[in-house]
Amino acid sequence: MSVIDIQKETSLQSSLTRFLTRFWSGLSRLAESKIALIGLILFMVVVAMAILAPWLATHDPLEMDFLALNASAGANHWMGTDNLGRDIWSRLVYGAQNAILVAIVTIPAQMGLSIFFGGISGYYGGRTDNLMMRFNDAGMSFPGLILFLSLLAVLGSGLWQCILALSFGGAPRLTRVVRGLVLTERERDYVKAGQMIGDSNARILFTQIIPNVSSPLIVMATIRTGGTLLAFAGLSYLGLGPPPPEPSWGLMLKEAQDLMETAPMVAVYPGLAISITVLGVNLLGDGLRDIFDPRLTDK
Amino acid sequence: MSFRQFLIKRVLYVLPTLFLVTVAVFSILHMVPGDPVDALLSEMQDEEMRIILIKQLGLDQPIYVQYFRWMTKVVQGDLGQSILHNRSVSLIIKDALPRTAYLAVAAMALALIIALPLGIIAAVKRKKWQDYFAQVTAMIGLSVPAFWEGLLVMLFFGLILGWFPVGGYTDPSEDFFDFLHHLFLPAVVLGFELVAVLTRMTRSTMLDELNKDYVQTHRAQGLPERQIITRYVLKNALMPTLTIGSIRMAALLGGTVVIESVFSWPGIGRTILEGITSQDFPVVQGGVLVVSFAFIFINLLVDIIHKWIDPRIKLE
Repeated sequence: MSVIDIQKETSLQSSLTRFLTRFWSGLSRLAESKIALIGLILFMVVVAMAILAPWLATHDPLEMDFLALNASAGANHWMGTDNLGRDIWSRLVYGAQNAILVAIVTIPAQMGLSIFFGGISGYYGGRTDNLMMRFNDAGMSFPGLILFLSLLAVLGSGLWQCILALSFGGAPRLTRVVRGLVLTERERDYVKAGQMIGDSNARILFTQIIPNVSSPLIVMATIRTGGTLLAFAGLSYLGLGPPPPEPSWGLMLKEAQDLMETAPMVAVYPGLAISITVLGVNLLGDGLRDIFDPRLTDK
Repeated sequence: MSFRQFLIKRVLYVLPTLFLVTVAVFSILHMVPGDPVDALLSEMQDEEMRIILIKQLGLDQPIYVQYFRWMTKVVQGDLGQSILHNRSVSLIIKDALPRTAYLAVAAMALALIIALPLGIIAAVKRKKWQDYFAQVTAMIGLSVPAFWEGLLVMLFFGLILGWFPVGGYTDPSEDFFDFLHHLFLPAVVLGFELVAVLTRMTRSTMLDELNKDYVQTHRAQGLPERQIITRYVLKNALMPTLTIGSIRMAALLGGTVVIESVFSWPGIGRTILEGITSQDFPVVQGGVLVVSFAFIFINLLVDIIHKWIDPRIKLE
């Protein structure tokens, strides 16, 4: 193989091809794990609900029907209404849009950030690694929601503020994982070969190493999606998410809490929606882990 | 390297992180859109008062001077004054932090009592109904939002059955049994996610151990299964679980925010949240600082204890 052939091999186009081929074979292997399939189906149902919301909803989610306040489930309102007469089913369906949007934007953002910083840290090592990991550790020193709360104290509350906070706040943990993976890969022969023929470090890192560690990364990202969705629901519940009257599942639960004594069922549906979505993602993550990385398998 | 060397190295390792955390917390006030002066001073001050107060609080100084002044006060235990309550932030936190600690410790204890036996049984009865039951319970625990659990639990056990109070707090010094009565439900809910994590972890490490050679050897020697487990396997299996578990337990500190909100438990999570919604930045800064430091120190302690117990662990 000539040097030119090797360089063609490492081109962006071929690494993208490799990634897509692996992705496709991974998808077909998905069928190996029943758990992953069930998870995927559950998640797809919620995605479908989000996309088809305008057709699935029976009412305008913001429309208040003062003649039907706190109505119980019936023909007109499948899940009843809340204390402002808004149809719960419609609000549930539109609430899926927020949840799916958070998932689709936050997880790739977290992955992008962690691949960039974790990749550089793991590849170069030494002082760069040391310095970057200190910053990363600082980011991981704020337990759970406290980190997101701190970020939102600066950003203010709202849907996109939450997405920003979740993206940046969730990245440090993934960054550590990427760094570890790259550290190990860095010692492999193909990396040394690439360096010998004069490939730039950035090219080796992003077109060679990262695609090779993409499997455990994807597994981790899927597993983190559940936690991210729960965090978003929590932030909405605390009133820091999309502001009322926009429907979001967490906020619906907060509103339901005030009605608990008179209309307890209002609290059930949004909670179920969150649980089913997160369960789907968790099962998918578990299943993917069983398929892609048997070392992590739960037996 | 000796244990003492490890100890020194590990503590030194933490110092830059602590520094960065203080910088981050200090920056909260200065990254908020608008003038930090306005954030700290109420609008009702007239122009002269503002100028006096600005000079007094040092808000006209360069930022690194402000940081230094702030840190000097922090080290002496002065976390500033709450804008909303007009009380010392340190006193507010001094009241709130122990309440969160009670909750976290109770949740940990409950989680350990439930999760360890559950995980062990799941491993021993692998692929039988006990195993599936444990795994399903764990999966549910990981998927269900804690505040929803809290609502349902409060609804069922509090409102419908009336066995427990619907939120609130009683100081243990006032009435210890009432304190426990109020503590139970939020601790159970807070601990549930931890139960899920610990159960899966225990099951996993137990299965790892049960596959090892020494277990086969003991079986071949005719030792009863129960003795193999209680005498040898448990010790080795529980160590990694407790280590990683204790870090997750420290993370409970973050989870308290939502639980405290659901059950109206006046802990530090709720204090921070109130600070954010009312833009009471000294409280937010003080609260976040204290919680992060507590988190870092607990992790440090866990690392050190773990190394002390099992010297085979290397410093990463």
